[in-house]
Amino acid sequence: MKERIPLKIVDYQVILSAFLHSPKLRITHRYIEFVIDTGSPYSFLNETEIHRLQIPIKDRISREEINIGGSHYQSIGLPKITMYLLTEDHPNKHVSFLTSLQVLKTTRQSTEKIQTAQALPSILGMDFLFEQKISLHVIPTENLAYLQCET
Amino acid sequence: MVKNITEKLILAHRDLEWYAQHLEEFKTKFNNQFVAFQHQTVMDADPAMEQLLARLRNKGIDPAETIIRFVSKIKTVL
Repeated sequence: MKERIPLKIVDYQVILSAFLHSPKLRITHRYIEFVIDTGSPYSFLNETEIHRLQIPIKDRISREEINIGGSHYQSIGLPKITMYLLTEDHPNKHVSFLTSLQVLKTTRQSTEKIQTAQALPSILGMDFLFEQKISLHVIPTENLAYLQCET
Repeated sequence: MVKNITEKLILAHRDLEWYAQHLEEFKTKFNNQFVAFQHQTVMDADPAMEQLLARLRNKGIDPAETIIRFVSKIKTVL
Protein backbone atom coordinates (compact mmCIF):
# COMPACT_ATOMS: atom_id res chain seq x y z
CA MET A 1 0.00 0.00 0.00
CA LYS A 2 1.29 3.46 -0.90
CA GLU A 3 1.51 5.98 1.92
CA ARG A 4 1.98 9.73 1.62
CA ILE A 5 4.11 11.57 4.16
CA PRO A 6 3.26 15.29 4.18
CA LEU A 7 6.04 17.87 3.86
CA LYS A 8 5.87 21.61 4.40
CA ILE A 9 7.40 24.20 2.07
CA VAL A 10 8.84 27.00 4.22
CA ASP A 11 10.86 29.80 2.62
CA TYR A 12 11.36 27.63 -0.51
CA GLN A 13 12.79 24.77 1.59
CA VAL A 14 11.02 21.43 1.81
CA ILE A 15 10.73 20.51 5.49
CA LEU A 16 10.04 17.11 7.04
CA SER A 17 8.78 16.90 10.64
CA ALA A 18 9.87 13.77 12.48
CA PHE A 19 10.36 12.21 15.87
CA LEU A 20 13.61 10.36 16.50
CA HIS A 21 14.18 7.51 18.92
CA SER A 22 17.48 5.84 19.83
CA PRO A 23 18.12 4.29 23.25
CA LYS A 24 21.85 3.99 22.38
CA LEU A 25 22.02 7.75 21.90
CA ARG A 26 19.66 8.48 24.82
CA ILE A 27 17.16 10.09 22.42
CA THR A 28 13.59 9.39 23.54
CA HIS A 29 11.01 10.36 20.92
CA ARG A 30 12.40 13.82 20.27
CA TYR A 31 11.08 16.21 17.63
CA ILE A 32 13.33 17.33 14.80
CA GLU A 33 12.97 19.03 11.43
CA PHE A 34 14.94 18.10 8.33
CA VAL A 35 15.39 19.93 5.05
CA ILE A 36 14.98 17.49 2.18
CA ASP A 37 18.00 18.17 -0.03
CA THR A 38 18.34 16.14 -3.23
CA GLY A 39 21.68 17.89 -3.80
CA SER A 40 23.14 16.19 -0.73
CA PRO A 41 24.32 12.58 -1.05
CA TYR A 42 24.19 12.14 2.75
CA SER A 43 21.85 12.79 5.68
CA PHE A 44 22.99 14.78 8.69
CA LEU A 45 21.95 16.07 12.08
CA ASN A 46 23.25 19.60 12.53
CA GLU A 47 25.42 20.79 15.40
CA THR A 48 22.57 22.58 17.17
CA GLU A 49 20.71 19.26 17.47
CA ILE A 50 23.78 17.63 19.03
CA HIS A 51 23.65 20.23 21.80
CA ARG A 52 19.84 20.48 22.06
CA LEU A 53 19.37 16.71 22.34
CA GLN A 54 22.66 16.18 24.20
CA ILE A 55 23.77 13.48 21.79
CA PRO A 56 26.97 11.88 23.11
CA ILE A 57 29.58 12.07 20.32
CA LYS A 58 32.84 12.66 22.21
CA ASP A 59 34.02 9.05 21.88
CA ARG A 60 32.90 8.64 18.29
CA ILE A 61 35.48 8.77 15.54
CA SER A 62 35.24 11.23 12.67
CA ARG A 63 34.59 9.38 9.40
CA GLU A 64 35.67 12.04 6.94
CA GLU A 65 35.78 15.76 6.29
CA ILE A 66 32.99 17.38 4.29
CA ASN A 67 32.53 20.82 2.70
CA ILE A 68 29.05 22.36 2.65
CA GLY A 69 28.47 25.85 1.30
CA GLY A 70 32.11 26.77 1.81
CA SER A 71 32.22 25.60 5.44
CA HIS A 72 34.31 22.69 6.61
CA TYR A 73 32.85 19.91 8.82
CA GLN A 74 33.84 16.64 10.42
CA SER A 75 31.33 13.88 9.76
CA ILE A 76 30.68 11.46 12.64
CA GLY A 77 28.62 8.29 12.13
CA LEU A 78 25.79 7.37 14.53
CA PRO A 79 24.08 4.06 15.30
CA LYS A 80 20.83 3.47 13.39
CA ILE A 81 18.00 5.72 14.58
CA THR A 82 14.25 5.09 14.40
CA MET A 83 12.43 7.91 12.65
CA TYR A 84 8.66 8.34 13.06
CA LEU A 85 6.74 10.22 10.36
CA LEU A 86 3.08 11.18 10.02
CA THR A 87 1.10 9.72 7.12
CA GLU A 88 -1.38 11.81 5.20
CA ASP A 89 -3.86 9.32 3.79
CA HIS A 90 -4.83 7.67 7.04
CA PRO A 91 -5.44 9.98 10.00
CA ASN A 92 -4.02 8.92 13.34
CA LYS A 93 -1.34 6.77 11.71
CA HIS A 94 2.40 7.06 11.40
CA VAL A 95 5.20 5.11 9.73
CA SER A 96 8.67 4.42 11.09
CA PHE A 97 12.05 3.86 9.43
CA LEU A 98 15.34 2.63 10.81
CA THR A 99 17.79 5.04 9.25
CA SER A 100 21.46 6.00 9.10
CA LEU A 101 22.43 9.52 10.09
CA GLN A 102 25.68 11.33 10.62
CA VAL A 103 26.38 14.42 12.68
CA LEU A 104 28.30 17.41 11.37
CA LYS A 105 30.76 19.19 13.60
CA THR A 106 32.46 22.36 12.46
CA THR A 107 36.24 22.60 12.45
CA ARG A 108 36.09 26.42 12.48
CA GLN A 109 37.11 28.50 15.49
CA SER A 110 35.83 32.04 14.86
CA THR A 111 32.49 33.04 16.44
CA GLU A 112 31.03 34.05 13.07
CA LYS A 113 32.02 30.78 11.38
CA ILE A 114 30.72 28.73 14.31
CA GLN A 115 27.34 30.54 14.13
CA THR A 116 27.20 29.90 10.37
CA ALA A 117 27.87 26.20 10.96
CA GLN A 118 25.32 25.91 13.76
CA ALA A 119 22.71 27.67 11.59
CA LEU A 120 22.94 24.90 8.99
CA PRO A 121 19.72 22.83 9.05
CA SER A 122 19.59 19.08 9.55
CA ILE A 123 19.50 17.48 6.12
CA LEU A 124 17.89 14.39 4.65
CA GLY A 125 19.79 13.60 1.47
CA MET A 126 19.55 11.15 -1.37
CA ASP A 127 20.90 8.29 0.78
CA PHE A 128 17.69 8.41 2.87
CA LEU A 129 15.41 8.33 -0.20
CA PHE A 130 17.36 5.43 -1.75
CA GLU A 131 17.80 3.46 1.48
CA GLN A 132 14.09 3.68 2.36
CA LYS A 133 12.85 3.44 -1.27
CA ILE A 134 10.95 6.71 -0.91
CA SER A 135 9.98 9.07 -3.72
CA LEU A 136 9.85 12.85 -3.32
CA HIS A 137 7.05 14.86 -4.92
CA VAL A 138 7.03 18.67 -5.09
CA ILE A 139 4.18 20.49 -6.86
CA PRO A 140 4.99 24.23 -6.70
CA THR A 141 1.74 25.34 -8.38
CA GLU A 142 -0.19 23.79 -5.49
CA ASN A 143 2.42 24.64 -2.82
CA LEU A 144 2.36 20.91 -2.11
CA ALA A 145 5.15 18.49 -1.22
CA TYR A 146 5.11 14.93 0.06
CA LEU A 147 7.12 11.73 0.29
CA GLN A 148 5.62 8.49 -0.93
CA CYS A 149 6.56 5.03 0.23
CA GLU A 150 5.26 1.45 0.08
CA THR A 151 4.21 -0.13 3.37
CA MET B 1 2.63 4.99 22.78
CA VAL B 2 1.71 4.66 19.08
CA LYS B 3 -1.22 7.06 19.44
CA ASN B 4 0.95 9.40 21.47
CA ILE B 5 3.59 9.66 18.71
CA THR B 6 0.91 10.29 16.08
CA GLU B 7 -0.68 13.01 18.20
CA LYS B 8 2.72 14.61 18.74
CA LEU B 9 3.39 14.52 14.98
CA ILE B 10 0.04 16.19 14.24
CA LEU B 11 0.84 18.94 16.78
CA ALA B 12 4.33 19.33 15.29
CA HIS B 13 2.84 19.83 11.82
CA ARG B 14 0.51 22.50 13.21
CA ASP B 15 3.47 24.20 14.95
CA LEU B 16 5.45 24.23 11.69
CA GLU B 17 2.44 25.68 9.86
CA TRP B 18 2.23 28.42 12.49
CA TYR B 19 5.98 29.11 12.18
CA ALA B 20 5.71 29.41 8.39
CA GLN B 21 2.85 31.90 8.75
CA HIS B 22 4.87 34.11 11.13
CA LEU B 23 8.31 33.72 9.54
CA GLU B 24 8.55 37.23 8.08
CA GLU B 25 7.62 38.72 11.47
CA PHE B 26 10.28 36.54 13.17
CA LYS B 27 12.92 37.59 10.62
CA THR B 28 12.35 41.23 11.58
CA LYS B 29 12.24 40.59 15.30
CA PHE B 30 14.97 37.93 15.67
CA ASN B 31 17.30 38.51 12.70
CA ASN B 32 20.44 36.30 12.94
CA GLN B 33 19.35 34.64 16.18
CA PHE B 34 18.70 31.11 17.35
CA VAL B 35 15.07 31.01 18.49
CA ALA B 36 13.54 28.37 20.77
CA PHE B 37 9.89 27.54 20.08
CA GLN B 38 7.45 25.42 22.06
CA HIS B 39 3.73 24.96 21.37
CA GLN B 40 3.46 27.98 19.04
CA THR B 41 5.25 30.23 21.53
CA VAL B 42 8.68 31.88 21.38
CA MET B 43 10.47 30.75 24.55
CA ASP B 44 13.72 32.70 24.11
CA ALA B 45 16.24 33.85 21.51
CA ASP B 46 19.96 34.58 21.35
CA PRO B 47 22.63 35.04 18.65
CA ALA B 48 24.71 32.38 20.46
CA MET B 49 23.19 28.91 20.50
CA GLU B 50 25.07 27.79 23.66
CA GLN B 51 23.82 30.84 25.60
CA LEU B 52 20.26 30.18 24.48
CA LEU B 53 20.47 26.56 25.68
CA ALA B 54 21.97 27.64 29.02
CA ARG B 55 19.25 30.23 29.57
CA LEU B 56 16.49 27.75 28.75
CA ARG B 57 17.94 25.29 31.28
CA ASN B 58 18.18 28.07 33.91
CA LYS B 59 14.46 28.74 33.36
CA GLY B 60 13.73 25.03 33.92
CA ILE B 61 12.94 24.41 30.24
CA ASP B 62 14.43 21.26 28.70
CA PRO B 63 15.82 22.36 25.29
CA ALA B 64 15.02 18.89 23.93
CA GLU B 65 11.32 19.73 24.44
CA THR B 66 11.68 22.81 22.23
CA ILE B 67 12.59 23.24 18.57
CA ILE B 68 15.43 25.62 17.83
CA ARG B 69 15.55 27.35 14.47
CA PHE B 70 18.08 29.88 13.20
CA VAL B 71 16.13 32.90 11.92
CA SER B 72 17.81 35.22 9.45
CA LYS B 73 16.98 37.60 6.65
CA ILE B 74 20.03 36.20 4.87
CA LYS B 75 19.23 33.22 2.64
CA THR B 76 21.16 30.01 3.18
CA VAL B 77 22.11 28.03 0.08
CA LEU B 78 23.08 24.45 0.85
